[in-house]
Amino acid sequence: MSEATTAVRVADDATPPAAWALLAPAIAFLAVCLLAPLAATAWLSLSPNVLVKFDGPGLDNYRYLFGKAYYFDTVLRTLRIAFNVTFVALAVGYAAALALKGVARRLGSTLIVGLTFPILAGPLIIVLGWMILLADGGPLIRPLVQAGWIGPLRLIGTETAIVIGLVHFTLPFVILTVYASLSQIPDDLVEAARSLGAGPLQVFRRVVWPLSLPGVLSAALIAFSLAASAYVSPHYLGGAAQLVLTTLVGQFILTTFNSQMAGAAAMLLLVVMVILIFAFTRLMSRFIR
Amino acid sequence: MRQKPRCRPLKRSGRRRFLQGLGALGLGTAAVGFGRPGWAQGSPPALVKGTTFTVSTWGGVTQDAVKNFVQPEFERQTGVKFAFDIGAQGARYNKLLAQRANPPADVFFSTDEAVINGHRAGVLQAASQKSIPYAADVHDWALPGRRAAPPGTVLGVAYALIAYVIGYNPQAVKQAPASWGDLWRPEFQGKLALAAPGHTQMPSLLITTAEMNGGGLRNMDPAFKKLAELRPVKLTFFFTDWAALVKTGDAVAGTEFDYYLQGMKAQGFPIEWVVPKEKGFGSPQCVSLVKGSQIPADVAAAFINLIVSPTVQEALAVQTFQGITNKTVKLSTEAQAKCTCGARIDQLRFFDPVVVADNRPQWTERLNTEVVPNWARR
Amino acid sequence: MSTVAATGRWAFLLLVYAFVVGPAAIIVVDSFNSATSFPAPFESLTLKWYASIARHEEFVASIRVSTIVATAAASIATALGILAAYALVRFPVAGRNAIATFLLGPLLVPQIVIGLAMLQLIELAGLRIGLAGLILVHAVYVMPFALRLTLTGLARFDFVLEDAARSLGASRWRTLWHVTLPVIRPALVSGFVFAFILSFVNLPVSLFLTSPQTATLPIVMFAYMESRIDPLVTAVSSLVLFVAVGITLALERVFKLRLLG
Repeated sequence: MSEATTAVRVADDATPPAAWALLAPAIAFLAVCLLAPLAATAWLSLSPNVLVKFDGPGLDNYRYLFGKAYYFDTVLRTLRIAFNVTFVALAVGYAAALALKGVARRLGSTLIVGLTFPILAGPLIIVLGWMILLADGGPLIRPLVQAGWIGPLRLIGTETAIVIGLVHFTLPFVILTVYASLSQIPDDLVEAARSLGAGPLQVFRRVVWPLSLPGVLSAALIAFSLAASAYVSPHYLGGAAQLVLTTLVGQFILTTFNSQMAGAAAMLLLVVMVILIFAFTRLMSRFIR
Repeated sequence: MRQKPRCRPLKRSGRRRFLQGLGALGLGTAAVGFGRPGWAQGSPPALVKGTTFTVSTWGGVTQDAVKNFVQPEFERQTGVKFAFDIGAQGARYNKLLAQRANPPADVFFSTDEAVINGHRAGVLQAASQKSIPYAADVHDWALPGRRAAPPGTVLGVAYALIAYVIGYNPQAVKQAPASWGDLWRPEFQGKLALAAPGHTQMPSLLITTAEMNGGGLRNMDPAFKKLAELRPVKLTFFFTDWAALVKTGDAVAGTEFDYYLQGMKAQGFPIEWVVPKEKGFGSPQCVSLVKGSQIPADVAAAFINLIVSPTVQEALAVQTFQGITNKTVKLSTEAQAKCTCGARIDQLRFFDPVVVADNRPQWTERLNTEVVPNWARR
Repeated sequence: MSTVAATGRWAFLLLVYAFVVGPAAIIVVDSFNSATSFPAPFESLTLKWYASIARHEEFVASIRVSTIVATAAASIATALGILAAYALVRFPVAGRNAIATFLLGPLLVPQIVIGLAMLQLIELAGLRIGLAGLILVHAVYVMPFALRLTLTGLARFDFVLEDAARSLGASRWRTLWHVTLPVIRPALVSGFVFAFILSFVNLPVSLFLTSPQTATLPIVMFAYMESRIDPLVTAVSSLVLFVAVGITLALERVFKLRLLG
């Protein structure tokens, strides 16, 4: 975002009114199709329902969610999974992006493009593939157990399965973002550092890593957002015993028809994500300046 | 395991009832002033010709059954064109709740409990008994909320009966389970497919567990305590949630509907099933009219009449493995062999849908907060 | 780089690729499996599942719906996106960062919340769930992606070209049409295609908003998987994958786009 806004050119006949005319459609669109619906959800989340009875608009639904250990655990689980996914995806993704960077240009970009193809199949069917791979008796785990490489392993229905599924989903985005950021580091800088006698580790620590931080930050945000707002992976790989906020919203609407509590869980997820992301961005921009 | 119901050939009275139904339809439409008497003789009123008739139902076996046995005849009779809204009952019911002004369906397939809920919520409407003559031929449990229905109407009519029982893999389980209590067998823990808290039959399982452990409707605590002791591998809504696990050996037993288990068996899965000695849970599958639908009530009611008519009932029994509700239908031996026929009705227990509807929200909450966290630990 | 390090690097990349491509590969392989349930060990090669897609009218109808929704949503998103991006990059807009953040805001809202919120607004307003509502929520969901790609494309655009055209007497409109747009066309097209694909394969946004006439492909697959265990869904997904990959590759060739890079 910052690179776009630094390319501003002030024309001689700068007419901000024209700018507003161009911006108005997009802003109005979001106001009507995002803000208004969210307002409806917020309104419903303040209303009484079959589980929590109270008078008029109030925060009782939220108090109920925070009061029950089960729901509080759901919030914690959502955050825990999102952080784990971000951490793993960043670690693996950064290493993969570095490895790809060292590959010849054309082969490298072909490989990059190939990374993104599974996304095009859609999360639903990918998760189905994971259900097969992660089943105890499935084609991945059973041979490994029989060969004695690992002990008997139960993954389906666990948080680990959700994390695996979500890392799989976010990894291509992370690799792409980090790779783009690494590509922007001029080769001359690396050359210069080398010629000054720096070893590969020093080059990385002093030149590459710091310059790639904006990309890392971007990738972390993307991974976190995707992981915290995912529905398909937690639903199929975790199931009803491992609810996260998104599947909790689904359960409230689809099995107990509690529109108000669903709204409260939805607003809770939204608020938590916005706070965390803004805090993270603020924190990071203090480092990267 | 299960015994075959008695056998008697199909009676001629079937056709008479059918014509009676159409006649009532003709009277009804004339009364409403369509001005075209005799549409029962095959000329549908211009009003409904080409109109879309939306059926909200479960996918798979149920949708196929409607498509194969009801749709052709009904489309021919009325000139409507079918559309289907398929999915789990919860999702479909939610759509009714969300769109009262403009309902997304004209008839609604559901459990008997949902019929009660739907009427209480004001999204379903009662049908006049005159427009569903065959409703007089169904079992008592096939007319949910009979006492609450206004005189001369039905809230909904059950067209099929399915039973919630215990399925198991005979290759992995040497001694077949015989009781609901067998769900707690140590050999099943970690390999049990269990109804999810939101499953339609969970309240029935709760009540049964309570009664087996010194409690009952007035004291449900033992049920929650006992259920928390289980270690399920999967919480299920549909058989597809755990069928693959049977193949890989991750699940050796599970609670499931008999017709699904029969279907799995027919597809080559290593599965057998038993009706527990404390009785299986009878679940009438009902159809009701959606309130506010654009289709005239008596036309929609004719759909219900068609699906409980003897011809269709017999076809359903053979094709879907579900039990039928029309008492006058006596199946041929070969037909009986193919249907599980509601796992023989006297082996089943029918829970009062009003009681279930009243208690479900609180029980689901208790399940979520007291029981599920125990199921999640490894 | 030493051979050991090089081998290590390739081994690592191979592992990563196996991880990323694995599940999709399993699905594609299983779509050719003649076994009647899924998953199942491979029996023999067959195309019957692909052939039977045409016979399942709900899948055919949902592919049509998904295509319509994705096209409309991507068009709306791209159109609004190019207008907004141009304004943000070209002019000194007050509160530029805040506006950009706002317009990219839907990225922060979980898809299921976007869908739920629209359902609840429709409910409160007494409206009907229909194609329009579905298209609008999809457009909300994909707009940030289209916008971001367009912003990146415009950021690289040298506005000197525009000034040159203007100084040669071209009107504002002609400049836009004949100078600016052709140069940023790759960014626009990649924004559109990305938005299209994301909308096409999405499930949570549509989860609460479908009716029989507006069931998207993922929703129909979701419902199908509830009631049947045959490999038909793998064939449908593989088909979607092949088409998407085909379109992407074709565009890379034709437009020399770095669509995904």
